[in-house]
Amino acid sequence: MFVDGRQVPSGTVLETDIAIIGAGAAGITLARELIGDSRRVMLIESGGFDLDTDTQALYEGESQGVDYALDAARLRYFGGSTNHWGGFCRPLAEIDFETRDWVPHSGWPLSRADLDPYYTRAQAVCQLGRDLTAADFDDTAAWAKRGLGAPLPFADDAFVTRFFIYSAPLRFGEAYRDEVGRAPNIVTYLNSNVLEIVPDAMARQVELLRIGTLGGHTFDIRPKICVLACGGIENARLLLLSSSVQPAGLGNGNDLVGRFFMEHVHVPGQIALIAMDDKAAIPAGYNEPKEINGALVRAILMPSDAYLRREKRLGLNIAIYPMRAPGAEGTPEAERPSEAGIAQLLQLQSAGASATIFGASCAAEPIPTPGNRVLLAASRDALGQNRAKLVWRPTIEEHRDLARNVDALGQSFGRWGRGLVKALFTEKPAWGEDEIGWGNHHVGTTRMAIDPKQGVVDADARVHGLGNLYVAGSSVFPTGGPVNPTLTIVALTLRLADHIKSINLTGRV
Amino acid sequence: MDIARREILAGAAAMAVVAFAGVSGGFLLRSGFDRAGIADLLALLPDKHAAARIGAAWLGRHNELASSWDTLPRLVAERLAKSGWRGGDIDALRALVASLVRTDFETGAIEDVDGWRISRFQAELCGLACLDASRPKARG
Repeated sequence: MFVDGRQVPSGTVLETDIAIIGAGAAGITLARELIGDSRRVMLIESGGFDLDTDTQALYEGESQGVDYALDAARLRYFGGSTNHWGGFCRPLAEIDFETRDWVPHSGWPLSRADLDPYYTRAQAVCQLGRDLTAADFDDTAAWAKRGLGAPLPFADDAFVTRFFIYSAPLRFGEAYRDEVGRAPNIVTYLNSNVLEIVPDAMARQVELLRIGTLGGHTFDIRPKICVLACGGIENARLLLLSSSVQPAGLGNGNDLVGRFFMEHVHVPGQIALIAMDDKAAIPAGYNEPKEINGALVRAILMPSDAYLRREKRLGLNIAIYPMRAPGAEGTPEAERPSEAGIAQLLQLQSAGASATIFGASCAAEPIPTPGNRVLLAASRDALGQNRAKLVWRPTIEEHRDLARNVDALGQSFGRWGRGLVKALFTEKPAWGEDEIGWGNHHVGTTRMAIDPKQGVVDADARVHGLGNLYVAGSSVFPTGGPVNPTLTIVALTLRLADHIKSINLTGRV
Repeated sequence: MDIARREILAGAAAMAVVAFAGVSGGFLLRSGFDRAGIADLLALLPDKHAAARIGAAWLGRHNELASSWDTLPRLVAERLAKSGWRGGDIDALRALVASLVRTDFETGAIEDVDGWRISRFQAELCGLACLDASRPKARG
């Protein structure tokens, strides 16, 4: 059932077993998992079923460092930011979960193996194709057999072929609206904004959620369990806004809420050009997504775990695509030839008859940095709430790491003998403004750690110190890896759902 | 010092150098290192103007090589000799060059020329092409 919160009389107090704040990828996934459960669920969404400019304006905020438009990076209506999702899916790798001595503040309290069954379930939720498992993201032999092309046969182990498997992309709101609406134990409150999560006087349990609408209605919801699922920026903002009992914000006793914000730097344009001795040397499966057996798949290059450990580097994913001749960018057959000097250097090593230029673009793993953070701005939104202020400055260490990985790419293609690399992203003393793009991935602001002094939530995603408040979404990631977060968001939410289903609510008030 | 060499030493654009000089293996042969097959090496680069442009960019950052007509040819000859080269047909030379280039990439002997990551030996070959192209006409 769907209820418009603007129709709820002010002063109403509603009770539920489980309240989920936010109907995006995490919130809708959790609600679906609870369909048929004996517990009553309330799903609380700020927007309606379509984009509304006044509601979207609640996402406006301030930024410091990178000029970041907070309202453009996410969407505030049923389905959340999946409404503009690109559909890129790939799990984090085993190494991404590990404590790496060269990555400050790295290490998850769970492993890739812990998440593997949930990744496989998440693939079904994201509708990635039938009969695929988490192993399919790395299985070069299987995809070659299915017709995607053989992986690039580098002579060294620095880079390996991996795969993105794409969702359609799935708009969670459209896809699962009817299912959620029909569920007898779920009520979705639309146009309903949580203004504060209010705990008891000792700040041990969430007691109620204060709800407000843009029309001025206010009402309360009393949940036995509360799950915050508003996205990587809003999760932190709402905890910081929940300050009537704990002035620094709920769960913020160790000044960690909002800190360690991470984004994946996507360098605009190319990080490198690759001159290949033959355009067929790069199989088409690298150049764009291919539909195979109902799955949309694209091969990418990533540094191997062995290389990352040996060189103490950050993760990276690299997409390769053919460049067009200048002035013929829209003409598929007009591949850009290499300059003559480079072409004949290639021919010193190989018998290829022509040299064709490919571009390489990337998304890079960020370093968890406490100074990159979400704060409350002095300015306020239409509900009277402090807006979010994002402080994000990619570090020089991240710049250096990426430049050195580009150098390593040059070495790998050179050793192979069929390609030469022109590095466009090179070491500099500081980031250039034109070098920083991003993926609208908001990670790390309520990071997961066993030690409350190191993280906001524990390994079950429960806020340290609060018995019934959980966080879902990429804000709990301690590190961001080098790939898009949605699949991991869904996998972690499925894991959280299993945990919540195991909780006995009898006797809780 | 002739104009062409000064331009190389300053790292100036090789186009002018090449246009001025014309292309031939003659100078290098007379430098005393033809035993190493340097003329044959240059034959592996059919577009010597293009190679010379890369070579000029590289030599512009290696004054120790650009300031002498002999140093780079000697280095190249020595490397060929160490690799066992005692002369042979062009296919054997091509295979040896491919091996040297591969070894450079394996060992990280990689040069940055206008962003291109090329092997040290590739850069040296282009440097030879540049030196050869910029030889003084009066000596030819």
